[in-house]
Amino acid sequence: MIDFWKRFKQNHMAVIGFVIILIILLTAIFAKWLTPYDPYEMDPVNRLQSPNGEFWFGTDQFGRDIFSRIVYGARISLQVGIIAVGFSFIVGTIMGLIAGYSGGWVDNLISRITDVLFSFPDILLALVIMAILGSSLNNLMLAIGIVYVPIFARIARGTVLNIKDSLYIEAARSMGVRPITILWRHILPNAMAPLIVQITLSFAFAILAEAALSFLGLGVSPDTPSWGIMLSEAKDWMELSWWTAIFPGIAITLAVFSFNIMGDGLRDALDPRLRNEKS
Amino acid sequence: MTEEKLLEVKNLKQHFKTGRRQVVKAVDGISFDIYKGETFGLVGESGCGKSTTGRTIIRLYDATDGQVIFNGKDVHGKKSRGQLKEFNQKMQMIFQDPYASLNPRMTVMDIIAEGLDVHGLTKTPQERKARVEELLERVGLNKEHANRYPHEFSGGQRQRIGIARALAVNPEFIIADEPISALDVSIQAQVVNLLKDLQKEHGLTYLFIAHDLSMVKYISDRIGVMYFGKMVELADSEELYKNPIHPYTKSLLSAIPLPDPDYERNRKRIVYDPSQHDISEAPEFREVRPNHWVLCTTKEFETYKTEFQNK
Repeated sequence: MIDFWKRFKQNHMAVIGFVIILIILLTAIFAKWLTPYDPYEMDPVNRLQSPNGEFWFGTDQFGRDIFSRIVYGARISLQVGIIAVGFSFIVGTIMGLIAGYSGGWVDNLISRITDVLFSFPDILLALVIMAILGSSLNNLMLAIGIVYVPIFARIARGTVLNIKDSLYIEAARSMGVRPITILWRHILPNAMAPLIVQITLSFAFAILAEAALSFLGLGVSPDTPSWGIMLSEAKDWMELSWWTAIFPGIAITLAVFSFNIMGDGLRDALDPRLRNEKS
Repeated sequence: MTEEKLLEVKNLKQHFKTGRRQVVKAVDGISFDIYKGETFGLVGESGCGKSTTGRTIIRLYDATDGQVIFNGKDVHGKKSRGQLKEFNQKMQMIFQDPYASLNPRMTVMDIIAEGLDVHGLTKTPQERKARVEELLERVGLNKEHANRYPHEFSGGQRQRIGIARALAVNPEFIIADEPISALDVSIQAQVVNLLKDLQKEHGLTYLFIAHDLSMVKYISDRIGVMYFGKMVELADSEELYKNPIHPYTKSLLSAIPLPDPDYERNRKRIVYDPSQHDISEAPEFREVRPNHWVLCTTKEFETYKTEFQNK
């Protein structure tokens, strides 16, 4: 573990990503104390104010403070990220573990299901699911979660196939350890590295997908301070007032970028092939 | 040594399908008995099926055909969990590659205690810890090693951990699948001696699989020689080394180098040519001398017999 941290630290970009994510996380948690205004409160007098000392990032067409909305937007983004990715990680990994370990027709069945899910473009599939389920925050998270299930399933299956014939698995089997215990105690911990990397990368995708779906009007309700919705609403006003679009855009970019570079750093730090070259 | 049979292997077959019609007969009808308290050595060249035999006995593979009788009970085929548990406890395995046979993400404590957990042999965490520490010290490691991970150990130390894991559940029978071939020569003797000591202490029975003939002779009471999935010769180790009968055994023994220049100068490699056998008759396993079995045809049997009557 210390080893891993040392390797991770060498990658400065990844550390920057990690720090930004930490800042976003803290803003989301302490949003209440960081915001000068209520993100829902409309103020017709101060409509479309450009950034100034009073409204740091300006105000939108209803006079809501953009800075406050972005800070609260971090909550939505992280919530969507955590729950959607958590869902796809748990479901996908279980599917992949079972497929990889049991083989035969079970493997075939699960692999074909993931193939079908894979054959649709991500956003299109999420759109279809949202159209069926109707738009709400929970459905949004579920839809994004379902879209990323096959990625985790495939990664888990591949790693299990790699691990399940190793000698220590045979040793456990020869001692009569139950298959479920073998999966849980022996295979899963050894299969975690690529999955952790995928989690951070999927996080970025999930934030983007939430923004995209909200932008298309299929996400959360329009008054919610979500980065995607803010961007969507800003598109009618951005010729007059650039700040309504720029700041949510920067927030999305920053979050996605940070998760991506941190994911890259994690992958490099966890990849055993790179491990030997560096040490 | 008592003459009580601990393990009987009867006509064991293990065939692997490698293609639509192709079948690899890794083990093709071998039979042997292992007596309580002895060490049975199994030798042969790479790929002759000795490891497969060991793995099939412990049920890592389902046997294609044949029986494995352990303590008078057939242990193959469908079994209830209880029956399997008993069998899994009494029979343990030590693996060839100590680098691959220990889970890199588990501490030594958890690795060794795995069998204890499966069989519920220790009631409290303290008891579990005490048992693991006792085992670690028994195999020549320190109890401080319990909380470390496998990669912090050398090959010889890892193999000791593997031995401690096998010992944890108080087994009667241990299959040692080339336990020393991945180790440094200087460490090999230590590990073999450890195995010998443990055998004396706990009255263990070993199936010792190896290709290093001198080491097998040192540890084994009886030796079986395998060639292409078949047992070609089986005898007490002294007898086998003094009077090898089957041409393949002769060839194997002629390949052992000795640290004796005079002997080495005159040592001639005997090359085994399988076509020297008369294939019109299926060879059978026959007792040429008391307790000395050879795979041979009737004609060869007669020749072998007369050969040894003159001695």
